[in-house]
Amino acid sequence: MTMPGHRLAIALAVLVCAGPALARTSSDLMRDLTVKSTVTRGDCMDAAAALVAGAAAPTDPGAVMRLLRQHRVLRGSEADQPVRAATRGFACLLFARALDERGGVMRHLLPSSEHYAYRHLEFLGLIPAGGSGRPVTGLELVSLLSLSRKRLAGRDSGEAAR
Amino acid sequence: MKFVACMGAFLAVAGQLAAAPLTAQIVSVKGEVAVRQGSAAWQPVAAGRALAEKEELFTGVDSEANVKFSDGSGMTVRELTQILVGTLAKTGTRKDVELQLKLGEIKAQVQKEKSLDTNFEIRTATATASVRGTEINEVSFHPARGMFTSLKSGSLLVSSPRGNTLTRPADDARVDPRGNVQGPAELRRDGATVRVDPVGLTGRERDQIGQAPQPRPFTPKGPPDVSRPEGGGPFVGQPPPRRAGGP
Repeated sequence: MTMPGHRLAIALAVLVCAGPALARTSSDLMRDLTVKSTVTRGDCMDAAAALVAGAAAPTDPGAVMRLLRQHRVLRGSEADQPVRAATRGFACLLFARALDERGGVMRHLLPSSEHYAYRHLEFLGLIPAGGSGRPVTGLELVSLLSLSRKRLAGRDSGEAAR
Repeated sequence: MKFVACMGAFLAVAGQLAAAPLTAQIVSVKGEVAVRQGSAAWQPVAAGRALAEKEELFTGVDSEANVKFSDGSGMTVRELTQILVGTLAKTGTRKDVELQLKLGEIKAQVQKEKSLDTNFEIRTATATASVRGTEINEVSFHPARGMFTSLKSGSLLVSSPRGNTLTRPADDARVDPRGNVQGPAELRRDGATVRVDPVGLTGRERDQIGQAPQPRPFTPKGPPDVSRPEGGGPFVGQPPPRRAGGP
């Protein structure tokens, strides 16, 4: 079965026009997050990938999961349900692992606990107070990424939470 | 006659300068920087683009933008920062620049002109920093930390509904997410170290303590002695005597 000439031309035109629009970068994703009142677990994974790989982070969901599993940021069945609303605890768990933050006694005893990951990042002033079960907003997630990148670069000293 | 002509020309030039609108232009871009007007779609920008009132600017991951104002003031917008240009106006002897820092960090250098009343304000969700001819190391806003300012030269008035503080060169100020203002003195006190001395010492005893060698931290030498409890050995000793009538 062969495709008629005009259909092939239309398909090519669609690919040429839509290609650049679909080729989104991690910066584009973060920019769109700032207006979201609730983000998904998939958005948290994208932000964690941006922390791990910087501007070169992949945006394809499969590639993001592979990258995070490779860096041991994502474990077990945590990648399930990427469209579910994310809590602050889930975002903090990914970021605490990406930052290699050891935390306190309870985080040592329960390293996969979202609650104690949240408590530690709250202590560091990276996420607002209020509870690990609350949904994380887009602005909070981008702020968490920004402060975490600052912390990784060793520039997070003067304004640390007191 | 010549004098009158010169004065006329001078006044015309001065009048034009006073009436010249204040503009802002992105002079350099690193990484991905985008601008939008209102709720329109974000457009990637390059160096040389002018910034107008009510336009928003966002810098992506690993990105930075330098913005220059027509009066000589400038600012650096650091990565993952979103700002909105609120007001950009010059009327008569007054110059107004109002920026809304929605998220992230900026560094600014504000040109102060003697003939103009300069009002350069950086607003965040919790507070406002009003600049008076200043070089600012950093103004940042994050939902978790609130607003933080660090000043290099000049003076900066940081105000929120719950208070205000005027910072001087090398001073920091912080406004927490609830709007409580912490001035330079409070931040210095919070970051200070406290030395605790025993109570009731005479001056001579205090001097002796100060001159005495400080105790060295305990560092075990050699392999641990397994015959002793602190080396991991069994506790050897007499058990406590049993009380008569006990179990």
